[in-house]
Amino acid sequence: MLDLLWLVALLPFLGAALGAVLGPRVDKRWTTAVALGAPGLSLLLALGCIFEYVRNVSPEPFQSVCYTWSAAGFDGYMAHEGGYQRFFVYMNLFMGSMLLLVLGSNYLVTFVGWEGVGLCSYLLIGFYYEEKFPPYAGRKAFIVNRIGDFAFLVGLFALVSRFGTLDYRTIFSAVAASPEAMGEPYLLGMSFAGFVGLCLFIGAMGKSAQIPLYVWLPDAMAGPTPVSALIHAATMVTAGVYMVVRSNAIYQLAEGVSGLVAIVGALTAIFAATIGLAQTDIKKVLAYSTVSQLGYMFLAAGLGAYSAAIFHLGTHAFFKALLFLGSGSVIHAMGGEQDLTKMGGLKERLPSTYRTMLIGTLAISGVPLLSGFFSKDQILAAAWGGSKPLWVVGWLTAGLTACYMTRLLLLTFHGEFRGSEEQREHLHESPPVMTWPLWVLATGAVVAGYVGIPRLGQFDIHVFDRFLSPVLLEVGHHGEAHHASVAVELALMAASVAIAAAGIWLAWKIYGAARGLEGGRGWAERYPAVHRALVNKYWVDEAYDATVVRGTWASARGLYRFDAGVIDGLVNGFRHVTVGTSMLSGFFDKYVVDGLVNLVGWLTQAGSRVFRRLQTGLVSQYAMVVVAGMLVLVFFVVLFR
Amino acid sequence: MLEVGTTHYLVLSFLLFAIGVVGILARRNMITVLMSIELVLNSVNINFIAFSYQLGDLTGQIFAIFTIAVAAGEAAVGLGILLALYRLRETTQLDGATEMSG
Amino acid sequence: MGAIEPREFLLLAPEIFLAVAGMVVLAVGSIGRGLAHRTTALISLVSLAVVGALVLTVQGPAVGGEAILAGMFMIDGYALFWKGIFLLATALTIVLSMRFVEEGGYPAGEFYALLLFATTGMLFMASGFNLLSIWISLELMALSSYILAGYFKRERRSNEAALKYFILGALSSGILLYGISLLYGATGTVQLTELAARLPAAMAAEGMLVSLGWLLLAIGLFFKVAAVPFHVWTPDVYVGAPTPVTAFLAVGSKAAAFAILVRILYQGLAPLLVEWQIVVAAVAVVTMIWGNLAAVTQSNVKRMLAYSSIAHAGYVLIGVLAATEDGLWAVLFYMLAYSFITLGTFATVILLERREYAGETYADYAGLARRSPFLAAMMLIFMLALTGIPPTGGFFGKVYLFAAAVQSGWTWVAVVGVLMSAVSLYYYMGIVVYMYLRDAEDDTPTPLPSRLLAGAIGLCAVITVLLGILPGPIVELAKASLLQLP
Repeated sequence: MLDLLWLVALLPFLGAALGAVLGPRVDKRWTTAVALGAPGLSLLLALGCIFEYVRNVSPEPFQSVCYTWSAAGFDGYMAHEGGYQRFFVYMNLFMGSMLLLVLGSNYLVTFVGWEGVGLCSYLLIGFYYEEKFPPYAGRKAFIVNRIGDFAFLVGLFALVSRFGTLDYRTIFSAVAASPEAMGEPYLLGMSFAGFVGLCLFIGAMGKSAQIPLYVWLPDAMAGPTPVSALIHAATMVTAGVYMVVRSNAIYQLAEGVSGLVAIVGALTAIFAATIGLAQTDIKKVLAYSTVSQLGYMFLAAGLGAYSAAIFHLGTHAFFKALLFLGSGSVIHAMGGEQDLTKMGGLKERLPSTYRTMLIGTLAISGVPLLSGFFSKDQILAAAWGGSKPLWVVGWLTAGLTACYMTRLLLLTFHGEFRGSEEQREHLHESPPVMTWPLWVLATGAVVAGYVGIPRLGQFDIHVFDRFLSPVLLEVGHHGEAHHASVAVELALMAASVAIAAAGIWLAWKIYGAARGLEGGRGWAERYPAVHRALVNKYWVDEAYDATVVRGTWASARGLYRFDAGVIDGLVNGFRHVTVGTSMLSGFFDKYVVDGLVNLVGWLTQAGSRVFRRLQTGLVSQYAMVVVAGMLVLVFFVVLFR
Repeated sequence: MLEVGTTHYLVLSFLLFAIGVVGILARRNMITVLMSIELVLNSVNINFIAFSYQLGDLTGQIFAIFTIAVAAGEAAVGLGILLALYRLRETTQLDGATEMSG
Repeated sequence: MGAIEPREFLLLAPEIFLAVAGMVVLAVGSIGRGLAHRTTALISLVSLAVVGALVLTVQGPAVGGEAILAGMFMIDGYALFWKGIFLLATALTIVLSMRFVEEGGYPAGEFYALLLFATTGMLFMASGFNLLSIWISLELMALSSYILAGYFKRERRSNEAALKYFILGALSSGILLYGISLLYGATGTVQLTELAARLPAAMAAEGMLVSLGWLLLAIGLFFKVAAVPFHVWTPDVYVGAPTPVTAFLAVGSKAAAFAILVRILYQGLAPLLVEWQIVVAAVAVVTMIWGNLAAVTQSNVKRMLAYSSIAHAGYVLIGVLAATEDGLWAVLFYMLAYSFITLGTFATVILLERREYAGETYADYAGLARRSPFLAAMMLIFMLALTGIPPTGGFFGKVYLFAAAVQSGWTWVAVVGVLMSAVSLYYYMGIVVYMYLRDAEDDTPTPLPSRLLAGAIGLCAVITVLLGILPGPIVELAKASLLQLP
C-alpha cells in the first residue's frame, strides 16, 4: 500500500489535467465527477496508507495531516458544487501540490509543492478576475509570499552547499550525527543551524501569514468562500508550520531562532486576535482568527513542542474549515452580504448553520471536551514549561479568541435582523449539499481532539505523539521539554477554561441578549481609548508604519488599505533612500515593479520592431541581407584566420 | 604570351559569381534574376573544371555535369513560378510581390 | 576506389523505392482525377510505411557503419535515426494535408508526389557521405519544396512565398556550391573522409581557399536551417505557403539540413573544429536573439511560429557547437521532440483555418478554450513544449542542449539560450492568454472537421508529453546513433 503513495499526489494532478481538457462545455456532472473522483480516490489511498503505517510503523509519517487536508478539500468541493470547471481544475491542482508538499521526502519536492500551492492560491484568490479587487489581492498574496520563498530558497541553497542533498532523512541524520558542527559560526554571526532555521522560518512567515508578512491573508478572502476555508484556513497556510516542524532537527540546534519563532508566533497570535475583535466583515474576522491560530502553532513549534503544533494544526483545520464554510452559508443566505452589522437574528432561519458554527466557535474557544481545548492546552502547557511571559500572551489570546468568536456568533445569529427587506426575503437555509459538510466537519471539530488526550502522569495514551515520533528526532542536549506535574497541568487547564469562559462572558455582556450592536456602541463610548485602540487596532502597526513610511498613511482608507501600507511602505522606504523621493504605496507597484517589467518589455518590443523593419518583404533586400551576412562572416574568418 | 593558369580561371569565376549575385540583388525583373542565378551556378562550373584540370582529377568534371543538370531543373522550377506570377499579376517585376513583410 | 558490388545498390532500396513510389503517385494522380485525393494519400502513406520497414530490414543490419558506392553514401545509425524522423514527419504531414489539399481544389497527386520526392532527397541527405551526393539530394529536396510552397498557384501569397523561397534558395545554393568548389580545389576531393584526411595539408598550402570554402559551404547550410542572418526567407515563406507545407518545411527540411550540417562539420571538416566552432557560436547567438525578439511583436501565428522555428534552429546550433557526444545526442533528441511539437502545433493551426487564411492571427484564438477545449489544451501543451517547460519533450531537449554546451565550455552561449527562452515565454504564452482568457466574438463551438487530424494532434501531444516524462528510451536510441566525433 505504501508503494502506491506516489499515486496519492498524482491523482489530483491527473484530475486537474482531465478537467482542463474536458473544458467548460462538457456537462457539469462530468466535471464534478472528475473533480471529486480524483481526490476521492486519492483520499482512499491515503487512508489505506495510514492504516498500513499504523500497523507496521515505517518512516512515512504525516499522512494524518494529509488525510485531514484531503477531507477538508473534499468538503470544499461539495460546498461549491455550483462552481465552474476552472474552479475545479485549480482545486485539483492545489490538492496535488499540497500532497506533493507533505509527501515529499526532500526539501526540493516540498518546495515544488510549496510553489504549486502558492500559484493555486494566487489563481484562486483572483478567481473572480473580472472584478477589480480579487486580482489585486491575488497579486499581493503572490508578491508577499515571494519574499518568504526567496528566504526559503536561500536556506535550501545553504543546505545543499553543506550536505550536497536535500533529502530529509540524510540531512537530519547528518545533523544528529554532529550537532557541534551545526553550531559553528556560519554567516552574519549566526550558526549554520541558526542561519538555515532563520531562512526557512522567513519562508514559513510568508506562507503561514506571520508578522510581518501576514498582510496578504486578510485580502485573500476575496476568493470564493470554500477556497478561504480550504486553502487560507485549513491547509496551505499551515504549510509553514509543517515545514518548521519537519525541520525540527535543525531548530533544536538553533535555540536563538527557535526563540524568535516562538516570540513571533505569540505576538502574531495576540496581535491578530485583537484585530479580530473589531472587524465587521465576517470573513475578515475569520481571517485574522486564522492568523492568530497560526501564531499559536508557531509558538508551540518555537518552544520545541512540535507534536503540539501539528496537533493544533489538525484540530484547527477542522473547526476553521467549519467556520469558514458556515460563514459561506451565511453569506450565501444573505445574498453576498459579508458585513456583520447587516446581519443578526439568523438563528431561526439557518438552524443547521447556526448549530454547527456554534460547535466550531466553542471548539476554537477552547471549551472543554472539544478538540480546540486539547490542542490549545498542550501548547499552553508547553509555554508554561518554556517561558512564562509567552504563556501569559498565549493565555490572554485564548480569552480574546473566545471573545471575538462569540461576538461573531452573536452578531450573526442573535438579536434583531439589521439587513434590508430584500435580504430578509432572501434568507434561507443552505441546501443539504452545503450543510452536510458542515455537520461532518462539526463532528471532526468535536472528536479530533481525542487522538491527543494529554498525558496526565502515568497515563500516556497520546496516540498522536507516537504517530509523529519518527520525524521528531532527539538532537542536541536539552531533549524534550520537561513535563509538568499533574497538578500544574490541571491548574493550567483550569486557567485556560477560565479565560475562555471570561472571553465568552465578556462578549455576551457586550453583544448578548438583544443588545447586539448597541451593546458594542455603548462600550465604545464608555472606553473611548480602548475602543480607538481596537478600531485602529493597527496601533502597533501604525507605530511600526510611521517609522517606515513617515506618516504617509495618515488617512488610511479602511483597514485593508492599512495592511497594504505596511509592506508597500517598507518598500517605499527603500526607494526613499535610493531614489530620494517618497511616494504613496500604490505607486510602488505601478512604477517600480511594473516599471521594471515594462522596461524589459519595452526593450524587447523595440528590438523586435527593429528586426521586423529589416523584413521589408522585398526579395532583393532579403538577398541583400543574406549577402551582407555572408560578407561579414567572410571578413571575420579571413581576418582572424 | 601570357600563360593562362588556374588563377585566371578563378578570377573569371569570381567575377561571374559577383555579377550573378549583384544581378540577384539589383534586378527587379524575375527573368533577369533567373539569368543571374544561372551565372552564379556557371561560375561554380568554371571553378570545378579549372580545378579538375589543374589536379588531373575527374571528380570536378563530374560535379560540373551534375551542376548543369541541376541548374536546368532549377531553371524549370523558376520559370514555372515565374509563369504563375505572371498569371496572377500580369507582370514579371518582383517589386509587386511584397504582400508579406515584417 | 574498388569495383562497386550490386549489393551496394540493394542497400539503397528504401530510397529507390520511395522515388518510384513518388512517380507512381504522380501517375495515379494524373489518371484518376476524381478519386485521386484519397487514393494518392493512401498510396503515399503505405509506401512510407514500406520504406520504413525497408530501412529497418535492409539498412538496419548495416547500422555499424558501411560506406557504399565508392564512399558516396554511408549507412550508419546516425543516418537511420534521421531517416526515422523524416519518415515520421512526412507521414504526419500527409495526414495533416489531406483535408487541406481536398479543399484547395488543386491536383492532389502532384502534392503527394512532391512530398515523396522531397522525402527521398532527405533520406539521401541523411546517408550522404560525399559533397556531391549531399548536394544533389539537397537540391532534390529544395526544388520539390519550392514547388510545394507555391502549390496554391492561384493564390498570391502562396506564389510570392514560392518566389522568395526559390530566389533566395538558388542564391544560397550557389554560395554553397561555390564553397564546395573551393574546397575541391584545395583538397582535390569531395568525399568526406578523404576531405578530413587531406584538410590539414591543404590548410598549410591553400589556407585561404580552405577557409573561404568551408565558410561558404556552411553559409549555404545555415540558410537551409534558417539561421540568422540567412533566415530572411523563413517568415514570408512560412506564412505564404500552404500550412501543411509550412509544417513540412519547419520540420523535415530543417531536420535534413541539420543532418548534413552535423555530418559535414563533424566528419568532413573535423580538422577545422576550432574555426567552425566560433562561427557556429556566433551564428547560434545571433539566431536565438533575433528569432526570439522578432517573434515578440507578431500578430500572425504562422509568422510567430516562423520566428520561433528560427529561434529553435539557434538552440540546436548550441548542441552542434558543443561537438561532444552529449551535444550530438542532445541534437538528435531535440530534433525528434521538436518535430512532433511543431507538427502538432501546425496541425492545430490547420484545424482552425476555416477559410483560406483565417485562423492565423492571435485574435482568431480568442476564447478557443471555450469553443474547443480539446484544441486549446493541445495547443497549450505544444506552447509549453516550445517554451521548454516540463513535463514536455521540449524541456528535456533544451536541458540536454544547454547542459552539453556548458560541459564543453560554451557557457555564455547557453546563458543566451536560457535568457532567450525566457523571452519566448512571452509570445508563446500570448496564444495561451488569448485561448483561455479572452472572449471570442462568437461562442459557437469549433467543430473538429477531421477525426484523423484530431487523432494526429493527439498523437503528437501524447508523444510530446511522453518525451517529457520518459525521455530515457529515446535518449538511449540517440546515444546509439552517434557519429564519430571530430
